[in-house]
Amino acid sequence: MTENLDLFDYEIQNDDRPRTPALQSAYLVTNNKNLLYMLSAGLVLSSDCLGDKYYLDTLACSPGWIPLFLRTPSKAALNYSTTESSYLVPCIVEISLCDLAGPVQVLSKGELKQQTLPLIEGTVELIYVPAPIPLSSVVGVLCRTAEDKKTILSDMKNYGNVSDVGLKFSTEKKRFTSRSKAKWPPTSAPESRKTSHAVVQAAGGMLALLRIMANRCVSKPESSHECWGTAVHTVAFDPGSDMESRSLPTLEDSILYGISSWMEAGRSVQKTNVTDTRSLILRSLFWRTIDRMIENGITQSKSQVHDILAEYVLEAKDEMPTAIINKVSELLKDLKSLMGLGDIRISEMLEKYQSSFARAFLIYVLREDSSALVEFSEPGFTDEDLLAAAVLFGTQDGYIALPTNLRGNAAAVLATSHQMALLSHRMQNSGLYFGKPPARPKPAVEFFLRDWNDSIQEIALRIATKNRWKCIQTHIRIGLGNYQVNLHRDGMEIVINDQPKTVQTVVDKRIFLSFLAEAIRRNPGSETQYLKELTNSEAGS
Amino acid sequence: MANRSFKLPNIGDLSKEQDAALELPKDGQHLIVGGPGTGKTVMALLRARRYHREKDDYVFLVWNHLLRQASVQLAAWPLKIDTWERWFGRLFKHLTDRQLPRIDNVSNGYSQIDWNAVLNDIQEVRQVSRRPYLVIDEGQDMPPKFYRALVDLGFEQFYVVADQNQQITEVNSSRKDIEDSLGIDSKDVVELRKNYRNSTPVAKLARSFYTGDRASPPPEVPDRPGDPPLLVTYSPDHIDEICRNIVLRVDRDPGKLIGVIAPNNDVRESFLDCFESTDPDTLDHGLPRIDTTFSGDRSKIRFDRGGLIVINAQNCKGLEFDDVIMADVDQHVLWQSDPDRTKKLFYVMSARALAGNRHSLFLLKRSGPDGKWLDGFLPDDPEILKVNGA
Repeated sequence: MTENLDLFDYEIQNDDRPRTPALQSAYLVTNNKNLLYMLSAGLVLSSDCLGDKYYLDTLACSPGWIPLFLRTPSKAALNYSTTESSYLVPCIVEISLCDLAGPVQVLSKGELKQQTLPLIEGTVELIYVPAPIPLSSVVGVLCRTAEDKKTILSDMKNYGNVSDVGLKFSTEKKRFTSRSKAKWPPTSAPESRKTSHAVVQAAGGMLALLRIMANRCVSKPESSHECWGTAVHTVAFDPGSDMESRSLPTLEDSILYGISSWMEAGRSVQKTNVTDTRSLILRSLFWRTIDRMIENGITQSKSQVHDILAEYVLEAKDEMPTAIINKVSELLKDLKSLMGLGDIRISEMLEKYQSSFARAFLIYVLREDSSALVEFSEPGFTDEDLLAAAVLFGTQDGYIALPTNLRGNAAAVLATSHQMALLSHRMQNSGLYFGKPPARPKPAVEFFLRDWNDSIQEIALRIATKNRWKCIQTHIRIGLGNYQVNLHRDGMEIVINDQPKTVQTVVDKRIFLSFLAEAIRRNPGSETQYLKELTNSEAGS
Repeated sequence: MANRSFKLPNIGDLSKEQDAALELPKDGQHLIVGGPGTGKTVMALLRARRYHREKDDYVFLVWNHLLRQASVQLAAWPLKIDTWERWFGRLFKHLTDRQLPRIDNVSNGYSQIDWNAVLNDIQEVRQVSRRPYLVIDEGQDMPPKFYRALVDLGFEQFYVVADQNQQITEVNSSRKDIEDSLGIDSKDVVELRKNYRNSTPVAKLARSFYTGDRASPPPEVPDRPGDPPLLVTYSPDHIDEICRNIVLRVDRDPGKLIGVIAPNNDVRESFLDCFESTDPDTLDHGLPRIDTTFSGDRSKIRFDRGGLIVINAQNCKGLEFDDVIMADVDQHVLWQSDPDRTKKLFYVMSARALAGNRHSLFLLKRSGPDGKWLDGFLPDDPEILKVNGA
């Protein structure tokens, strides 16, 4: 096969044999603005998911699909991707095909047909992959010139939600200098398909928020290697996993117990009736409200969520005992009052409402967005209350509206992206597989919940010292004897004849965890630094 | 308590027209027009941030001391900022060794700059050697001859954001004045049409006060649901109750900044006293921060903290708050000879409320005969303005 194979110049095609081994990479032709939008959404998206901000590019011809060139893209495709505005610069997203498997559509000799990755016939010029593709499959971004690369990297810093996931940006002029005279758009494209974008964004928002909020959940760290936050994040990240095996027995009574099945299906699956337990009914009410928030495209309207809940209670009154209906109706009245000029204090609400169901909605109307939730620090709310609120805010904002400091480090972004893509393809039943999912990105607190070995102790000491957290104790063992004590204005001095037997500096785990939680609450971006300390050491592995 | 600060916009929050404003070439003369909430100041701040990042010489000019404080506190980088008059006064002094010439008749303790004298004086001075990039916010409020003077002095790099419908000063520039002074072709002006600040109901209320100037079209009503603004009529005997409930809104969300906009000094002072007399023991977080300022006052106001800011209507332009309380709207004056003047003021005040998730705009009206004129002035559509007695 020649290097400069024209996209639609069939005369020079000479190889019809299946290509084995599979191709390593394929190329999406787009522009700087669409690229940054995709980085903000955490996924390589199809054109229909970019909304009003979509700038014409090669995605336009196939909503729901991502067209990938197998070789150097045609000049027409590159030009097409920058036609809409003078400030657009072309770029090529290199996608790894190594782990991509499953049915795709391909364009071969002008005809559209189905094939199954990883094996692709040699005549294929273009693969249409069902969208979305996770960022974990992106190898890098190719730029035409150093100036274009600079423009993209500089533009990235203009936005609060464009993650720098450590993608390699390189200048590869030859990829932009195809001599092909092939036209764009191509003559055939697959029929458009739906990608469940809103559900996927809500799921990504939940996963990211639950991860960062898990750092706040330090209840009973002495008795368990797990806390509410880490347990919920684990089951959310591994949908379908056995919830009952978690070491927090109270989880099954929680509204959060529904997260595993929700993440598996992308919607609530539980049906209830009037004879169910209170916790089952509230759980169902909670997750069905989440479904409706997504259906209604909730972005930031608390009153809309209030109305959804009210509407749902009205509809489902036959499925619920009167006592629950009355209590939820009362909650709705108070929520309305909190949204207006009501004479209500938070402390009064806390006393009145004990369930995490009610408290999650209270937090939801009391605060604006995910950042405000992460900063939230009112005494009296439990870990479960905060995590349930994280589910509501994750749904409201979606992954795309989360500022980068709530998304965690690059590994967390890539792993979350992978989960989002898997959910989308599960819902589409596309049969596409992206390889082994990245490991669950553990929140920093998780490394410190388990028993501390010397290495963890050392890292904790380093972090505590650097941040001047008052959780360090120094134990000095000295033998029996009389010691001289000298008092000074600024302290005292003990004079030991000889050396102390042992001097050990230790970190108080309980206090350390409180400092860690508070530091991440005040500055969520700081978690990345703590994780770096951990991953630089064997202890974090 | 969480700090409030300038947040970089999300890429999806910026429209293509805002992208166009953001991507304008670094050099040259640029004018961006748009109604309240279209993101003009965000564009100007991002421009200044770009100059800062690229280590360019620039200055960010604003109308008054209050806007200077708000911008400098919200920017997360060392913003080179000044009020236009102070900056120009210093430049003039540097060039001529004289103070800015002023016209003798003094109103409200302020005498106007004698621009004819300024233009005359600068003909005799050398061109300015240091000519930074100029980023000008609320550019409609600066006089046309200010722009002419800058051009005469050899300034070439302008990024001006303006809205003709928000002129509330007596000497100001129309869109055409700025275009003519800076030599900008009308077709090169970037028009921002989408409203990014307000919820749909708040934007609709603001739009009901729009006076219809074609030079600066009102922003399109955004598709951002929210509750309609609420008109609360209260008996003056119950002002303490109203104040407590406003204070409680901050108490429930201590990071929230509520702007209480008063029609005059008397109302401003009465609300201020009322807020300050709330019993802190009846609140979860104690009494919140309460700031105030008035024309000529240079008190330090914290826009980067939650709390209450009580100001007069004339000072609210260019500011934005999580919640806005338009206090005692019945005490405004309806200028029979120029009803548009009052409408413009209501247009500006109502558009200060950020798109919130709860009620974010409240109009308070005292019961009694004073507010009769509001009957035909405020919209009577409950979808736009909900009425509630207290």
